[in-house]
Amino acid sequence: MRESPAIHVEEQFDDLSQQRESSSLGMWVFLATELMFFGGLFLAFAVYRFSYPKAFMEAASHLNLVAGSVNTFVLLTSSFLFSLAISAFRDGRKTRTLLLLGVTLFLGVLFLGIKGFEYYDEWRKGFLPGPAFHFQGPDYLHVQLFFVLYFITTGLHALHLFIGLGVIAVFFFLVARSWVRKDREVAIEIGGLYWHFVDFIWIFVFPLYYLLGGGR
Amino acid sequence: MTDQTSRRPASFRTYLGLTCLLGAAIVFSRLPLGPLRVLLVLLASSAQGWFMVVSFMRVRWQSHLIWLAAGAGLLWLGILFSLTFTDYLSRAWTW
Amino acid sequence: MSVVFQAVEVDPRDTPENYLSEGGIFSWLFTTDHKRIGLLYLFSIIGFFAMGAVAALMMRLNLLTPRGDLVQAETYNRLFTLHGVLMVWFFLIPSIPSVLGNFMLPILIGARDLAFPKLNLLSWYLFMAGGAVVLYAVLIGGADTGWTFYTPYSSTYANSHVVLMATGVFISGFSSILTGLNFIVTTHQMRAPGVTWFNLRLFVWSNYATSLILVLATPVLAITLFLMALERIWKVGVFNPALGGDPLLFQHLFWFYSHPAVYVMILPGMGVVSELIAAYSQKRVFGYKFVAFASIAIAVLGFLVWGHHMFVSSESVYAGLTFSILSFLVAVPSAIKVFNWTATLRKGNLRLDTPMLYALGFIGLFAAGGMTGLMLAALGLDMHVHDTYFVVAHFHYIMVGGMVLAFMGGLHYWWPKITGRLYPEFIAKIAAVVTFLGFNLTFFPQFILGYLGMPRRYHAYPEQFQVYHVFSTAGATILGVGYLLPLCYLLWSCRYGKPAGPNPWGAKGFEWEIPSPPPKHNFAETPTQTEPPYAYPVR
Repeated sequence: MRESPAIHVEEQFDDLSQQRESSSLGMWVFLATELMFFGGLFLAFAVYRFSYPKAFMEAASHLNLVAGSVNTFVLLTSSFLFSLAISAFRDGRKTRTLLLLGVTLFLGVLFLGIKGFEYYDEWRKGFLPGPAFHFQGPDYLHVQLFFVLYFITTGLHALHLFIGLGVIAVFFFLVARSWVRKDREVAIEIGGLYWHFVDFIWIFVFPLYYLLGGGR
Repeated sequence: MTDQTSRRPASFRTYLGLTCLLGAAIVFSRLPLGPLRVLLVLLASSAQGWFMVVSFMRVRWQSHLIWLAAGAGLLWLGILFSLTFTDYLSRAWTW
Repeated sequence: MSVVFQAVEVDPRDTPENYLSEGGIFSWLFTTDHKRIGLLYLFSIIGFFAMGAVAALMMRLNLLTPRGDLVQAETYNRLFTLHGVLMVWFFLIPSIPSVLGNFMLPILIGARDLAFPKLNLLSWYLFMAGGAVVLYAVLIGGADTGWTFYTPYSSTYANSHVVLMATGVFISGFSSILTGLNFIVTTHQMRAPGVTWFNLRLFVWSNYATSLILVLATPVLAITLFLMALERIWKVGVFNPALGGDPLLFQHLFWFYSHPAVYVMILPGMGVVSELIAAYSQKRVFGYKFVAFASIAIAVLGFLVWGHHMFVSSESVYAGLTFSILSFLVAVPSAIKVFNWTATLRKGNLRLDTPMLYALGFIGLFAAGGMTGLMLAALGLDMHVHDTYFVVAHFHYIMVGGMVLAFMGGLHYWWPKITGRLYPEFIAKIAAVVTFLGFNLTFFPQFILGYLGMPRRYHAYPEQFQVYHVFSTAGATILGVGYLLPLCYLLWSCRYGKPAGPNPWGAKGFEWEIPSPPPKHNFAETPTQTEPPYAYPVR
């Protein structure tokens, strides 16, 4: 690793620790706003699940439980690996960091792949709301409502995950170019917080949409 | 937080625990438990969320301020849910 | 009397290096200096305010006659939507926090800048991008839903540019969030030695409380508008009852943001007024801690009352009762503030300078707006006056009588610090009085109108209401003069005003210890606060 020049502190801060704590607090406040953003979606789901339990249970039983479970496991694993990557970065172990970031990246892409397959399957079966929506059974409208919320929630989650993948890719690239330095720990820690948060949201999306169905 | 405790990597045990909780949630959801089913599934998932925040996101080793920021998010989510549901839960009530 | 327009000769080379020294358009567009960003916001919101004011003027002119002869009903709907959207999201919400807060907050806590200066610049660009989208939507026809975008009208039936309008608001929401985030982190992390929580200026407290709301409420608006727009584009049900949705869910989500946002439009004003009352009474603020905690209490309680906007929707009666009681609670911290301001005035060394006139006006008008708010919070009475001009008058007493007066007061108070020049005091006092009178003439008749049953958002009305509308329109004209005067003499003062010196008002605080205009990094070295805020000789 190339020996780094002087540790960089932005001019508005007095020292590195102030900069670290500010960045970390800033990220947490941002995550609180993200939580409220998804909170609106969770609320919509809760209200309609409460109002139309039968239709929602019926609709949920049409989701692919295996794909959903595997995806949850994939995200949990990726989160674990990212936190190992942060430790490796702190210890200045470049190869290990790169390896862990690489696998995390792969798992994220795998998640999107599985999700994409699910979307394709649901579209094929006529569950995509809109003119193509096709469902035989009572309470057609509320079953469609379930799928509207499902596509919006998982879609917005996937968008966040995609952004997270971009962040990891940038870290991967930078670490590969010997970017490992003391004052940059906070950047990768914050990236980690975001990735864990995306996982955190999924931890609740999965049971609400996939597990609370009527079973078959 | 630059002290040594915050530098510990996320433990494999936590990861294992998360995976078990995921398994538990899936199993609960398939069992004929009546109304208890929803409750157990959500409890298992909330436990996962808790470990994710406290351990992976390292809140456990952070200052009170970070607890406050994370807690505020949850508290406000609670306000959004509880007051909205005062409406939906009591709509069917009659005098 | 002839006024001699003569520049007070200050050779620019004599004025010490300050934040305004660097020239060129790019030094402004790429600045990360919180003071310059504050000024960028100032110019932008004045522009938006002017457009919103023109819309208001056209509505008032239209309402001069019972048949509404000036514009058609359809146009009228677009006018009040434009007025609401611009005034709420592009003037009131950014007014004090983004202009005065941006400029003063780091200085008041003894910091060189906000915690994230680049993010701060990004907020301004997002704000302008949102504004540009809204203006584009207006140019191609605007929206006719009202600023509330109620579904299913907005998402299904409205025949106007709802999605574009909502997109503009959505984008500007991110600007609010980033500003709030920046203020929160700055207040926690960037305080100079001696600036403890209970040594903070009350303006900082109120901006902190405001930021809590911005950060926790705005994302809910974002997702709500997103769902509404998606329902419109995708033509599937989220809120539309014909497609299985519940329109009340939209209202719950919308007001979860928009009621707290009402406090974003008053809390910073309260902070300014606390500063003004202390400075022009030369007294410590009475019950400092109560005033500080009242800000936080208003921010938190403000989240518990949104259902009072839905009393006459099909919200359950029990929820209505709950929200009604909670709404009364908000009056407590608000009243604490008013009592403490008046107690601060008592036996103070009062000086009726322009900012103080605005502050006193604020107290009276805010009290009137607040009292009528209590009437509206009462479930039974609200059935009678819901969606009438009574509501319109009520919230204009808070928004215009409160926030705009506080903004003008704060702008005058800190103007010498911002520009280094004094404004002409006499004409400024006249403008303050004209604004106060014009405001009351505009909005007081609307209380009566509403109580008599005139619904809001109608472009024509029965003849018995005409006299009140004529009064109101006359008042709006006077109010307009009250706004134009400061625009003229403040601009004039930038060039011809007397140099202000560091502390023209004899006020206490970090900002008055540094030169006017402040140097680029505010302080030559990090200051230390050695005495409590407002340490005027106690009498």
